Amino acid sequence: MFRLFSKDIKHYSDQELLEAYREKGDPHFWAELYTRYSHLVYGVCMKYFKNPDDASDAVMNIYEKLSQDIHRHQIMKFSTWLYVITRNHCLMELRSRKSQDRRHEMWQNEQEIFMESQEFLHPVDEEDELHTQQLKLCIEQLRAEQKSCIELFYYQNKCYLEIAQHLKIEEKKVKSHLQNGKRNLKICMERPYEA
Amino acid sequence: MKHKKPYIIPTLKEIYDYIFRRKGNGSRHELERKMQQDPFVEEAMEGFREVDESRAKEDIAKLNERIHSSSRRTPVYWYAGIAATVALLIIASVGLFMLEQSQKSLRESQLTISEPSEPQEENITPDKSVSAAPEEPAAETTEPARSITSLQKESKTMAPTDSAPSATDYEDSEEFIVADYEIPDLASFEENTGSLIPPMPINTEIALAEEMQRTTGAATIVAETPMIVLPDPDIPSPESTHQILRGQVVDAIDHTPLPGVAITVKGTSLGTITNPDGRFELEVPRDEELTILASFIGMQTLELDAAELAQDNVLALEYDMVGLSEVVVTGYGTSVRTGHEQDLHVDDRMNRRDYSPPTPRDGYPAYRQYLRENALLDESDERNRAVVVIRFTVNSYGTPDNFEIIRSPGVHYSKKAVDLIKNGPGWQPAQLGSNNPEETVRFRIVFRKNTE
Repeated sequence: MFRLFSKDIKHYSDQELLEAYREKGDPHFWAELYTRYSHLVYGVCMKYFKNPDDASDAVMNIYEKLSQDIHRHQIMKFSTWLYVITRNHCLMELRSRKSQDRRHEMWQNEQEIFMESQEFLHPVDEEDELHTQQLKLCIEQLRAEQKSCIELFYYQNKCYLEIAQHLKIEEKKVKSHLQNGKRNLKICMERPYEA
Repeated sequence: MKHKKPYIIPTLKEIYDYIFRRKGNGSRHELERKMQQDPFVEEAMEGFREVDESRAKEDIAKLNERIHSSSRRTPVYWYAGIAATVALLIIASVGLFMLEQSQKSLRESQLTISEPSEPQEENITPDKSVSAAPEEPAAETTEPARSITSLQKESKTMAPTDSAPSATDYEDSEEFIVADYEIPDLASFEENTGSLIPPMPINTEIALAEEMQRTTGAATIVAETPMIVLPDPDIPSPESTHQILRGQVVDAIDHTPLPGVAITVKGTSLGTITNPDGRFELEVPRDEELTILASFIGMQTLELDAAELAQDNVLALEYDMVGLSEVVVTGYGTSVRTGHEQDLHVDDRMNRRDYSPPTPRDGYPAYRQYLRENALLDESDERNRAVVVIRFTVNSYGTPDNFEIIRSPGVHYSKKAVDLIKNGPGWQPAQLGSNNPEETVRFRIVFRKNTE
């Protein structure tokens, strides 16, 4: 029976694994689910701790903590949830280590990354909506750099590097133009339609 | 959330391929799309830039191995199954025991019924047993009567009336005896099943009677246990291992008796209080070295050995003058308002150095900015402003929940306020030491006209 599980388990979706773990309590499911993301958890922890040992510890700590806590939470999308948990874990850890000032300084630096804090999926990322009329209209209204970055990235499938070379700007700039462009698009899309 | 292609988590190799530009622009774009969609990948990527590829690879392989091996341990429900079985067994046996206990008293009366029929089994004819039955119990009960409780006597008196039918029906009476005998001693029952049943030994009966006394005579047990003895010197000590301490407590200054002084044996729950004459009696174990405490509000507690406390010793308590004048009132922890839109929850935790309240992840200025931009009155609304005061909790993961509207112009804006907080920027949970307690936050949201 277990051999059957271990074969099938790879093809389970995140949600199926989560439900299986909740129903049966078998840590096998939870381990499979977590290891799908463990490298990302490691990466995120690495970003905050800048130390592979700390990152490794954090990966295990989060795994153990969540194997209990997971039953108490309603999870819509596991990867998003895990990301938030991971980041909180790291920030909390740093917060308990560092003084108020250092923490504040770090937050200041993080502001840029937190720009899009809750809404992970953006209209422009949903391909079905790419061609809707309103989106086109909104893109037209964007500032020139943002507009060209969005078009090159989303419509011509160029990578940051190519866009940077094409527009003769830094790669970092491409990223921030994309971010800001997306934000503006979202605002534009949510504005009630004015004829 | 719909995707045309199923979302595939980028592998470690793909991430490092991207970092070191080992792949073409097409796959770069693929990964960038994932990063745009999922900040998890984006942040992880930043982290991976900080560590060698080989090190990361090794670490993650080790971690995954550890995780999988920990999960390969016997699954939890295995243990749960065993635990449940054991629990069931325990419950079942306790239940059986209780059942047996409750039947014991019943059996006790049955025992006396069957008693007279036993001898007849050996040498008396069934005809005689009817007349013999009322006599036999009377003779038998006189001897153990000393130790048998009144309850058992009751069953004895019932015996004659009940024994008549049992004696006439020989088969039934035998079954009675067998059933009775089986439970106190199963082994001897098995030895004797084929042969005649021997008369119940008197000892067993006494033992049973005592056992019953223990289970049914709760009142007599209470009387037996050593307790504080009432101030009547005529009551003798029930056991010689105890002694009675007597004394009187008086005021050290004017020698008036002090009633209601607590007399306790240090380190035990034994104790009494003095009567209106300041006298007390306390029964204590004899062979122990005991310390007796006499304490009274406003007096200094007196402490002395039980041996010192000779009969009718007078304990003089002195007034305790120290406590009253030295109360110092210190004020600290004033209620602080750190912004016009926010009320901080003030309690003793605020004074702890390792406490920090929940804060918006991007800080309060950004959060207020967000509210200003998004808390807008409906176009049709003619008011200039509408105020909603809302309270909610921030749990240990920084998720706002348990919304409670304190003040609102109506359901519409209440809903809007909840949506604003729910869908707004994330929160950093409160911190108390190494914990992240759920904490309540109160916000005043002002809906304004859209000035854009």
